[in-house]
Amino acid sequence: MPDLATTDSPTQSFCTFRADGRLYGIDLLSLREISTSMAITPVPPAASAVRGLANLRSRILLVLDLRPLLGLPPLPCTEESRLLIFKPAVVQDAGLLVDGGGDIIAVPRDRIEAIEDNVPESKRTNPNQPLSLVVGVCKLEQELMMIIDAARLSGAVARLLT
Amino acid sequence: MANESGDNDRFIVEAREHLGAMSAAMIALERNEGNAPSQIEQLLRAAHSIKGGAGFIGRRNIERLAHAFEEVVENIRDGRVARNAEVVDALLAVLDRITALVDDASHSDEADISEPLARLTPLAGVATALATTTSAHDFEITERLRQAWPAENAFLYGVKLDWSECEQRLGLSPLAVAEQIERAGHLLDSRTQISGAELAGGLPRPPFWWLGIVSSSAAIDDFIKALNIPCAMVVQLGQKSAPVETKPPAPADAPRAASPASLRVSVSLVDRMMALAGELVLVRNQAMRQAGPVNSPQRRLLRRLDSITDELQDAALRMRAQPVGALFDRFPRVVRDLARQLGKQIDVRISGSEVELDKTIVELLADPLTHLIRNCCDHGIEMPEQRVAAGKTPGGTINLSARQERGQMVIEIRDDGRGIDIQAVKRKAIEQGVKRADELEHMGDRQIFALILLSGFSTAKQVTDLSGRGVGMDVVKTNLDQIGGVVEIDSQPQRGSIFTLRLPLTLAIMPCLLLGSDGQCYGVPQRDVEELVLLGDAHARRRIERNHEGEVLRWRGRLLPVIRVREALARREPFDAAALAEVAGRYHAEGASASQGYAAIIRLGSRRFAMAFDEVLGSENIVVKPLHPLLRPLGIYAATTILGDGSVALIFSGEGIARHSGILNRAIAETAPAVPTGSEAQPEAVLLFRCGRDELLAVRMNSVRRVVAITTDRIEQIGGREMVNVDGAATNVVRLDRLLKLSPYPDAARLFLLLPRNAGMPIGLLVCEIVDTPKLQLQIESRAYKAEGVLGTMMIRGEIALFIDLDQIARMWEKNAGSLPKALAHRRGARILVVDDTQFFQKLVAEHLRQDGYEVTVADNGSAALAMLREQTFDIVVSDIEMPVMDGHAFAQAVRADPALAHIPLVALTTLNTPASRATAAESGFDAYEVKLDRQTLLETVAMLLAQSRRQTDAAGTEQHA
Repeated sequence: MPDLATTDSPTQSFCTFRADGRLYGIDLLSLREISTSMAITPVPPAASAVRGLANLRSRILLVLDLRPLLGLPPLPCTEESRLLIFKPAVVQDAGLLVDGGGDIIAVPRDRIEAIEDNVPESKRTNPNQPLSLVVGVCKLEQELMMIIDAARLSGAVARLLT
Repeated sequence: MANESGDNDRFIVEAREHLGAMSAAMIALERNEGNAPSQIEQLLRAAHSIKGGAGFIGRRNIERLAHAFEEVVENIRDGRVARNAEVVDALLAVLDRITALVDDASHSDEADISEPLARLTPLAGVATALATTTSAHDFEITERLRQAWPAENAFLYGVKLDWSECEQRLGLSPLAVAEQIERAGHLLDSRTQISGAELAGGLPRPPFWWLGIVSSSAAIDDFIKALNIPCAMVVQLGQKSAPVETKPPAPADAPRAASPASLRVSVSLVDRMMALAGELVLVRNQAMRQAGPVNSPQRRLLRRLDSITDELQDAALRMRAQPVGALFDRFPRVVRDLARQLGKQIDVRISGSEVELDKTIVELLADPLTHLIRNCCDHGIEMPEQRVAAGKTPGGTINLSARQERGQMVIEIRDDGRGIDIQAVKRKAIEQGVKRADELEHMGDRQIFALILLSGFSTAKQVTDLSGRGVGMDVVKTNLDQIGGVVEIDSQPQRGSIFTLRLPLTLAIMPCLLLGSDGQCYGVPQRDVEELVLLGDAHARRRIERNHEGEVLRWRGRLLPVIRVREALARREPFDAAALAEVAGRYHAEGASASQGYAAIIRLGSRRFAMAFDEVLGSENIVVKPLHPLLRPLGIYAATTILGDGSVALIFSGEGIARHSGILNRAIAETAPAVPTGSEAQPEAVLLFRCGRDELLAVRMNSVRRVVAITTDRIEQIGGREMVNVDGAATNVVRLDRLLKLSPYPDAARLFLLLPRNAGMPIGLLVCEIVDTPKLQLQIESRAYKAEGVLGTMMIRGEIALFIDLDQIARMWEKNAGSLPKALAHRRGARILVVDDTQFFQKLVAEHLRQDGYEVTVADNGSAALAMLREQTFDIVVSDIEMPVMDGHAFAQAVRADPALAHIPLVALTTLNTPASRATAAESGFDAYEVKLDRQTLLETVAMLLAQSRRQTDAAGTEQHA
């Protein structure tokens, strides 16, 4: 586990994963567990961001798909796929399906830059959704990590379904 | 502080229970029903508990009102205050006020209670009494005191009393008081409360307050009893958390003070247990599926797990159950107030309060029931003078009853009022454009009465204060729909009305039809499914047709709108006319193949529609799990569940999918009569039964000779077979679970034997439960379930029933029992004489019988046959009636007249089929009457008559030996 906490600044831990080659991170404290993929029952005619329902030890989880939420086409589940299951207080009975990853890193807080509202409407690459979920960016040694605010997921999905 | 809010919650829950009981007791008291002293005691106890509780958590207003209430009731008890309607009104007003304060207990002390108190003041020495309450605030619990609190005494009480009152009113000296206190507990601290100001004025005047802190092992009610000082006020100050460990075991002979017959458990805990019991069911189902062969030890173990799981689920369900009495108790009060307001005399009679129902349902019932009862008071029961004029008693009665019937809860509200004016309902329906006059013509009375449940429908001539406050009877329907209940209305002019509510007993477990669409499994609540039909291709009678609005299905003379599940799920937006037309166009285009296999007829209130899907996957009692809140906007799903294989399935909401598919907007009225599609089958009696626990089985009633009850110990093992003696005949016991894939028979001592009408061998089908014998229009679906011995399936009352082919079962059993040679010996040995004048029928009938293993000889007419019978031996004769030379009647009479031939069974085989011809044949001496060309029944009849005659011969033989 790469530890970037070289300075005295307090750190924050993220669960990282990739989508379309980019690195994303979700605050580790918002997750209850990380699971490998499981049987998912589709829920037609919901939007593709709703992958379906899964049975996690007799609790029914709503499985959201990150890719459509970021404006990417959905992909079938693979061995690499991971299901990030949220704490109930963050998103109730829900998990997020990601392409792969599941590493945990700790970064100093002062490296995190909030990007929300900084980017003018006109300069957004995809004006529809992505920026509303990505609330910050963190400079790592090699690349940038986009920070996703899990608490915004239910809102984003609710907008898609109503 | 968490603990404080916990105390508050506990107080509220308890106070509400007390208040409910108090209100009921007040009404009973006013009407002079039951035992008045015990009701007064109950009122006093309840008021005292509320007072104590409120004092404990420092709710002064509630405490003061409860105290005033108690005081007045004491005065009633002691005869100082009359027990009349005014007093009861005042007391009820105080109760209402307390109820309101309890509901918002944390703000109760901000409320102004001077008005209700002022009302009670003339009835009690309330003004002085007010000062005599006590609360936890009067006592100070120091650390020193806590340490002195003995471990064996779990409770800490504050006691406040007036020395002078003890002395003067009760004759208790201070010493006696002290002794009594010491007997009830252990005195930890005390002080006398006389202010310096009072002392300054010379000798103090009473009251002389004494306040003591006492520890005791007894709960508050018992402590008060033990204390036995009526004027002492007691408040609980504290309780040790784990009293059980430190308490010495109670002596066996003394009834334990607080032996709990019931426990207060949080609903969320019960729900969790319910969920876990549900999970256990799933694990059980999975395990059953993977278990080894029928008799393996593993199976036996699983069977035990099976029954334990069932019981656990049942127990968990019952934990959620509440007696409806909790709900019914409020109605005497409601009716009393209404009656007083309306100037009517109305009596409420309640029965079945003890019947239990799921808590959620009880809660949802409160509004509809209140509304119906208000409606009865307001519109149903007449004014006393009107009643007298109509020859009735001046007082009306409302009967409220609850009972369980066929796994449903039935609540009936019956009044003896003026009834519903059906003409007024009709007028109103036309006025409001709900129905047209010609539509009403075709409706039954009950259907018309049901119109009053529609929104905004009120037949009351004037809007009264009571029922006409904006909410109509549609509240009733809406709430009942929510819980899957229905309401039926029946009424007779001047005799009264009956509202019958039918409800499920629980919402946690729901029987569902599981259907497949595009490889996914979905559920539909079976209460919504009226029937399951097979859809054929373009040439079949049952097929989806197209009209100008979309797709329709002809069903029992109606045209029902069709929803294709596949299409409904493929479209996010609700369907509009264009989308419907597009779908219809696609499926009805030239060359389009009809791929959808089944349709479920879904009933929503009075509307029906057909839901088309690919395959039937079965029916199952599913454990309902709520739908994820984010999915609710989709609207088409009602719930989710976990299936036996651990996968998640979605449960449709009938109304949701109808709305999504635009069905509710479509003008196709399901009542619109369609062109009749040929005569429907006549209703036929069907015997519904169960062998194992799971499957509902059915046979035609007319294929059953008799059903007899047997006990398992009567079953004997003879030569590897199970046999039972039925009326002196040894009957083979056929266990259906050995022939078909069914759940095993339960271990029951009492079972039934179903004796088929036409069986070659004496057999009886072992049955564990006879469910019912309804008359139904048979529409047996043979494609959904294919197996030897099963005719097909049919949806009966929301459950899929397997129709059993008794003849085939008998054959399967014979094969299994290795008894085929023996059975055929019956036939091989049997010689049949076929009498017919036409060559064609001679050949045909003889061929059929030969194929079945008989030896057949033919004769051309009756007289030839008679000659042959006298020469050779035949076991049975099958004869035509219309024949030259000697016809069938004459032939039969001749046979019966000849003592040597009279025993031979005779079967008439003819093309005539009238009751008269049947009667004549029977008169002539024929044992059976068969219509030509019905090969199977002929064979069955022959086999049966042969078996019968064989048994008779055998029996005669035995008799001779004996």
